[in-house]
Amino acid sequence: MWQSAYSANCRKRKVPKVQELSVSRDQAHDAGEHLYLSTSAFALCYQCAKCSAGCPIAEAMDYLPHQILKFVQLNLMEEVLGSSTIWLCAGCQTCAVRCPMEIDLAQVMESLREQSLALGVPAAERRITVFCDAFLADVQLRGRVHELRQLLAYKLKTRDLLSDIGLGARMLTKGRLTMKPNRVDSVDQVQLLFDKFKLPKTHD
Amino acid sequence: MRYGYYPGCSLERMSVEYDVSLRNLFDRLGIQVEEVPGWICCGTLAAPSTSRLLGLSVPLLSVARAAEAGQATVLAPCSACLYHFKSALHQLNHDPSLVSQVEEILGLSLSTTPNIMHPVELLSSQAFEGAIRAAVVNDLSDLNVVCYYGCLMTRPPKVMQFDVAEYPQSMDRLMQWAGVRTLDWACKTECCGATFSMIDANVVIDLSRDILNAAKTVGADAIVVGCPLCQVNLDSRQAEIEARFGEKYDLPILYYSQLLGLAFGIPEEGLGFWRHMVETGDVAKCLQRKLPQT
Repeated sequence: MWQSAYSANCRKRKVPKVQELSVSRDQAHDAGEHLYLSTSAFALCYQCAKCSAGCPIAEAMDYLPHQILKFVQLNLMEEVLGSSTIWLCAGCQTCAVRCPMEIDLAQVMESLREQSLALGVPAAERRITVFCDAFLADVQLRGRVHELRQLLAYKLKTRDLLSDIGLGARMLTKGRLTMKPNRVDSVDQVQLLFDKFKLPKTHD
Repeated sequence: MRYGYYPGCSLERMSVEYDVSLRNLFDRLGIQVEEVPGWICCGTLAAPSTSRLLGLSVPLLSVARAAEAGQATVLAPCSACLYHFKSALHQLNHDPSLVSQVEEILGLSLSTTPNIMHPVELLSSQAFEGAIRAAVVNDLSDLNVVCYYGCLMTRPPKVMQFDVAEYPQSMDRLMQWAGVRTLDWACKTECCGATFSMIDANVVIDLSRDILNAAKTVGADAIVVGCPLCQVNLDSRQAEIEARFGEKYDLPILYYSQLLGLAFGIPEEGLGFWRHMVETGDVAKCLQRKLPQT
């Protein structure tokens, strides 16, 4: 049977049980209450599964997008916050366009990530949280992203220096990756902004 | 008319050719642009995934700075930046209590905010049809292209409010004005995998392969794009996809600004083709023919 490149690595992961998560059922329940999107939006979902049918990343997810909505409706937040789905969503908005009830599922996923981080639930896709951290650390420091530096920080933290090394070299010769530093003039204001949030100051 | 311009991090280094070709194009069409003073990264998916308020504050800092500089309209050529600006403004519109929270974090006023749009939206408006048709000097009628809009130029429609969400035509229209034939195809707004390129290349390889296959099937000579993330994925991963699946595409991934620039006779050094990973030689060659002078 033909298998796509990433379904070959598709995580047949055991979904974490409540007791394996670092949050209690009560905490997770509260997280459901705190979702910034009005919970009535979730109540509208009637499980037509159009979101899952159109999702380009669905085959790599442990739960399908419409299943995540069902869990939120039932307030089974520990299932949701421990799932890989909330991290794998690429934010392509296909689901948001096609949902007959106009639920903005991509934004739901964003808020679920926020809740999951706030509760310290170990991310099912650590690579993605490491990537986000490396990205934000760079923005915080200089206001703008320096791809090469941010990529190296990510590759070092995930101990994955060799994949894409050939592509990286070709991009260097084409001037697509450069060492040239960039920095916004008024970077103080950027740092003031980030200081108002509890984020790691540098890579650990 | 003068416009604000938010290039975004990608156009500053990874995709300089988009920035250069776009500025040359604006020059030819008499569109004056001024960079948003002290603009910062839009935060992409990383900021809103960390905290909603951070996800609003990071893009809105640049928006507030544009407003401070008196810019009424800001052009954002990267679809991802564009989405994050428009999404932040959309959320503020729907929940006015957020405005004061974000203003306090930024220390800047958000009482008036600029209108943010993609250059394709500006250029494909009827007002520019005459100017674009009149500026064409090279005959590009041998070229068949497909226009790839990617995820975020038109979606979600209630935020972006531009063109038809899943079968847009604006870029096609723009190409037709420049004398390029555009083909119908099924992948106009399919996802290329975006930032997964750095996290799990397999995702990008699968998704971009579908797009390249669809373009090849309808007989396209090139794919025209309007987003630096789409361009980098389809261009830089093409050789890997060809090697892994035993295919041959040879599909240059061009920005609409580069193709318009070619039609306008902007010299190649002003369009940056040398920076592409897939050779653009064939496309450049078929563009040597001048239109007969009338």
